[in-house]
Amino acid sequence: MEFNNKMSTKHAIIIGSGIAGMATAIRLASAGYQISVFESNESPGGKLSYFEKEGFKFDEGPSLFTQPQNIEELFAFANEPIEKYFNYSKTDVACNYFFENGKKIAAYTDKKRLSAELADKLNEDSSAVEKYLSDAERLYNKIGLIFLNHSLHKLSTWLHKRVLHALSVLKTTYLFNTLHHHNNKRFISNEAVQIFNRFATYNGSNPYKAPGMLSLIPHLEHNQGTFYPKGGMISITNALYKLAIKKGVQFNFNQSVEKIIQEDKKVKGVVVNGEHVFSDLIISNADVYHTYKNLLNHLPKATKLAKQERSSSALIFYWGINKQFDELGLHNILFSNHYKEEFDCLFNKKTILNDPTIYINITSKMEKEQAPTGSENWFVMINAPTNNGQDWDALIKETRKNVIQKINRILNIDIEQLIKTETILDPRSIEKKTGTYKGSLYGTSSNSPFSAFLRPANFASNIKGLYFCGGTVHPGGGIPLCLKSAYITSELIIKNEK
Amino acid sequence: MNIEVILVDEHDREVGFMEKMEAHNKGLLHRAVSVFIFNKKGEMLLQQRANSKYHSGGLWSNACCSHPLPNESVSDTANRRLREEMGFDTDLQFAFSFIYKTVFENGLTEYEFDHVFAGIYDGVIKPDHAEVKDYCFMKMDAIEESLIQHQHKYTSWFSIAFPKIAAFQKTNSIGIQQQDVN
Repeated sequence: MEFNNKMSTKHAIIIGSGIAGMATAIRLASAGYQISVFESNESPGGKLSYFEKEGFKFDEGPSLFTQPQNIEELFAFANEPIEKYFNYSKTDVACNYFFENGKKIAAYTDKKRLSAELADKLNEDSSAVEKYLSDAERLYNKIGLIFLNHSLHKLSTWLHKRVLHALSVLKTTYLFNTLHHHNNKRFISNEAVQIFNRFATYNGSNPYKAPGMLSLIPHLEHNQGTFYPKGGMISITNALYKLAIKKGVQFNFNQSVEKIIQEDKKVKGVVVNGEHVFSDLIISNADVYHTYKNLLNHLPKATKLAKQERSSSALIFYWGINKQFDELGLHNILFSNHYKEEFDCLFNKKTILNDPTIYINITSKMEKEQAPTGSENWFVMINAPTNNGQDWDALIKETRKNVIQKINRILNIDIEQLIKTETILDPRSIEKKTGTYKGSLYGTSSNSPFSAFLRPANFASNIKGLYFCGGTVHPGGGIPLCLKSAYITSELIIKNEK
Repeated sequence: MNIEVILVDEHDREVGFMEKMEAHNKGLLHRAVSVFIFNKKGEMLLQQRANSKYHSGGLWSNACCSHPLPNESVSDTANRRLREEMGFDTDLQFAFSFIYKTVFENGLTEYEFDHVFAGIYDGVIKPDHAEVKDYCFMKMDAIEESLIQHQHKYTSWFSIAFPKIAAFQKTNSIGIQQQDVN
């Protein structure tokens, strides 16, 4: 039978209902496509999921919300009023940093206030801090935006006038010096260097390896600001799901795609629960490695993808804490005293340092109903290596002990007796739950100058009608980039598949 | 006492019935109802449970709590128990639901899918003294402060439900500059 769908509605299948999958679904449905989403889990959201235990609400995955404009744009594209679905507010402080030497820094989202704080507490030159953030903004606007809004795998992107200009101003130092080298030259104190090195972990990378280009990331927190979604991060998933339903997207939960059917180098549909479902287009929001290896059975490509270094994974303790801490805020970091060794452990030794950096997210600081009265919901995250078959049970036990000792030291408390409930997520369970290769959180790492160029494309060059979105393809992991991948992919489709 | 409770799964779908004490001994998830009452000043009605209750006796909590009987709706249960325990009727609206699990000192486990109802009442209260030791209306700020300072005086589900009902009260302006609800 001849497929002649030029006049009729095109049908697209989306594999996975992560935030990128849902955003792509919304965009394509708004452009007139008929969309079916297949999700192996029982609910949407992928890593952006949620659970409640004994009155404590926990966002399971991402905890920081930046660049709400990506979601605003999505609702505008879908022509729906965002305020009916989603509300958020700006936060004054991006993060509270704690050091073993007793120093505490409130990293304000306002550039001037942050500069004053770093001058006051760390004797930094406030104008140098402001300059750093202005440079971050310039880098972001001149170069970052091009990466974020275009496919790097289309010749037209490279011939764009703005891109040619950007490449000419891109100093090689940003590519060939590491982020640490860059920061070490710009700040006086070790604490400030460490604070700005941490931004490499935004995409699960090593600041002692990743390029200085990542110094554009603080622009998101300290120029554009950090935000809190009302109801917690799960509100993002809920809002996108509701919008997708409104746009007529059809969701199929507990339905795992087993194969992508192709014929003459063109997609035909998928196999779900042994049944064939046909479509004109397929967009995989699943890990791109999983897509090539298991869904396409394309082993050479999968092997090639597997060779690239992965970004880090995480070990997360969800603790219901039976006390309130005035010195903590929404986002808190208790820094390792041995930062370089910590990354060496993560990426080379594939283990967790005995003095790990601890991230504590507490949404009950923003909304009291996120925890029982008098208590706090602690999301305690440690960067972890990818799952390479380590003895996780032993490593978790050891790390839990180290984390508790470090919290006790810095907050001067006995935290263990305040833990009312505990749930643990580790690289194994992340891999199992979200199908991400080795449990890495952001696809491949950015630990080399060319990582950004080496990420898989948003389309398959050898199979017509197959596209990709989500954290494992261009432009990368994390909520803002996943939403950008949905934009890039859907724009490619709308242009290509007319 | 041979009262049966409705066993449910985590999505509140009925999976069977079981005698109340057996369900609490085995710690099985069952359907429950909690009622929160405010006066027109926005103060919350607190109940001190009778010392003789099978768990949490003598502790302060919300207006009333119970388990729906087989084939009884959650709103019928809420209205019935408010009448039986506190001796009055008022319009109740569904607020939210939550799951909680607590092991009590006497070895019983409370594992409930709790449906929360809220209403406004300013009239006469005639509590059943077999169930209720004492009652009072208290300002929300004062309850929050007291919960933080003296958590041991309150039931475990109350400290879980309190911030949720406080948020619900605020969103829906219950008893906050509000006219007669009827």
